[in-house]
Amino acid sequence: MIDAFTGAIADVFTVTVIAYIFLGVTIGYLVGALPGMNRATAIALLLPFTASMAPLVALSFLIGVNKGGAAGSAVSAILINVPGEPSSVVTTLDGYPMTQKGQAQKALKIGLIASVFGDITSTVVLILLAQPLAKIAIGTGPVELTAILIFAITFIAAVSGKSFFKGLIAGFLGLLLASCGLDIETGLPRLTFGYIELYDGIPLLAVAIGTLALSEVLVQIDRGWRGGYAQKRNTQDTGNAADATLPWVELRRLLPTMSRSSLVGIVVGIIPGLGATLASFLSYTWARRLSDHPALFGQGAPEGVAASEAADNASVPATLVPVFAIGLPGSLATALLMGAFLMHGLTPGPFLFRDDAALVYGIFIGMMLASLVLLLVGVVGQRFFARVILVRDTVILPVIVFLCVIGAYLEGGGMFGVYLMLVFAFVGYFMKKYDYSFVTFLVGFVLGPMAELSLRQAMILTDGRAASLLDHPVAIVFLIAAVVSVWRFSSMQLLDPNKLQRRQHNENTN
Amino acid sequence: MRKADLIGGIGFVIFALLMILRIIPGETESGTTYGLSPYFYPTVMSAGILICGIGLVWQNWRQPRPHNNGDQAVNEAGHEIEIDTDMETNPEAAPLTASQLMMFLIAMAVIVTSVWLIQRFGIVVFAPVLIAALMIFLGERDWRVILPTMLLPVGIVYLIVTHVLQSPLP
Repeated sequence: MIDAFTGAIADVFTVTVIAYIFLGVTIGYLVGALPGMNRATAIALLLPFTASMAPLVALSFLIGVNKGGAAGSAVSAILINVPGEPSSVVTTLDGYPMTQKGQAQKALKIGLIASVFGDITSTVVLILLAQPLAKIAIGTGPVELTAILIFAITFIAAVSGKSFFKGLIAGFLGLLLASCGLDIETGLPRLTFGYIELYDGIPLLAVAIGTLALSEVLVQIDRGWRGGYAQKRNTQDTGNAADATLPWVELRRLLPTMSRSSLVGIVVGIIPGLGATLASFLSYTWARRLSDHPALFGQGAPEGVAASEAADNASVPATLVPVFAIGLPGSLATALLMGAFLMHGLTPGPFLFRDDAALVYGIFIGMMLASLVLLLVGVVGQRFFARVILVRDTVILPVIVFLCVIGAYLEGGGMFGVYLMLVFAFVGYFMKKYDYSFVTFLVGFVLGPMAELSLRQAMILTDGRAASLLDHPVAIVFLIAAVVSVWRFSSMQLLDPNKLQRRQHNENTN
Repeated sequence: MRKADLIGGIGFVIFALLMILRIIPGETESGTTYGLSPYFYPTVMSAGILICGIGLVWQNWRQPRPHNNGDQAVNEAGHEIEIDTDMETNPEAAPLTASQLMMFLIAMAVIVTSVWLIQRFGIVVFAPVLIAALMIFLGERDWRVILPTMLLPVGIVYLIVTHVLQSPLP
């Protein structure tokens, strides 16, 4: 372990890795600051460019983008009341009122420090938790893994959209799509429709760029169809020097809020599918409940900004805990990062610690470094990022479309990948419009090959007999949890409207 | 959304049935297998879509239908109950309006045409055209903005891909 760790230090502290971490954090921050763009989109667009990099460089770069994106989303939320990502919606509640009061620079500083605080805390927790959990997970066999995957997909489908059935349909679609290509056992073509390009399966990047990036551009295009693209954005930053300072006394007062919110972010982040938005809302509510001046929340309370941003950023490294422990992504960004691992021939999960410990420690050290770089980039580039958000959609959206084409071409299988990406943009647009969870869809797609392999192995091991499950108590626990979540969420939605009304009425009157 | 979900649910039921009965058997080559046949996994996933599609249809079929006045609905027993009908009565709240669909289709047409032109004539020539066409489509008329935007990203990406990554471009 010591050898692997010292080797990892030597690998990370090179000019190339540090430069790419800087670049990743800066690009992530920039993209996060742009309204409507999010870090998952940025990762999808940048993934093809990392194919020729060494695994450690590529993963450190993409993790930098992920971290930078989470922190940068506060900039537009604070300055123009438009969150860069859904998880920063809560930041607008107090961030924008602070801007209106002429405290924009102070709000940005609080947002940045809370982001870095949450990020570092969560990275430490990831480092401490991932390996012990992986050691436990290494004992799980295909039966247990199948049960865990069934539970994870069910749970993510339940919490990631308004309709449980639509979430599950999206998950099954992702899992089904992943079965295209050569069959893992016989090596014979399956669902390839005669296209030799599909023998290796549908390229992840064509799916990810199409459903995430290009479809989002198309949604934004139709959203602004009444001529909203060319409108200039205005900030109300007064540039008042006195209000821009953040004294230590004030910062110390925010520390308990940041600590509590980081804890919320970590817990929510570890559970697959819950996401940073829920973490921000929960921590904001908690901070307001514990505050001596709850009435100030929503009027420009610094605690509100700190709570939201600390939780948002704490959830980012925490989402990697299940990835390192059992190879299970719980969010869009982590699904794409898992795709990056696979692209470099690495299988995330418990065996990664055994097979490539130096790389895992290298990633951990790179993550800590990225947290510090985040602080530096945020402080130095604060005014620059504040100007970037003024760039009009007429400039941003066409450039993203161009990057989508290039990305799908490079790692999606040439022009075939580009056309495939256009098909998935079409599909993704309607999924977004009709609320079919594309998080579940993409997680299902990434997990597809692993799900099929473990399901096949489980069926062979148990000989297809349900009674054999009695030898696998862990699998039974997860299957019961999956059944309970199916029963709970589906019965809530299939309930007779009259009964539902009566139940809600009773709950309101009690 | 209720009507859209109902149609979507029926669509997914038909899709799953097509997959199970026609597409999976027709597009999967069978061979000697030790464990499970290649049909097994996609069929299980399609069955999942089928069950959830039925669930979605059932869920929306049982939902109260809105009256014309928007804030009242009638259930199966004929009793009036209040529901949130924003999606049904307010076109702005609907998931997809006709004008939005039109914008989407035009944008898709511009992108697909540009991609086809890129494939035929190369990215260096037609990527700037793609960017410029989309900018004009979105309402940008300032050539001082259009010119650098159409040339700079293409130039930078071209240099990175061909010289740093050493990958060919169309």
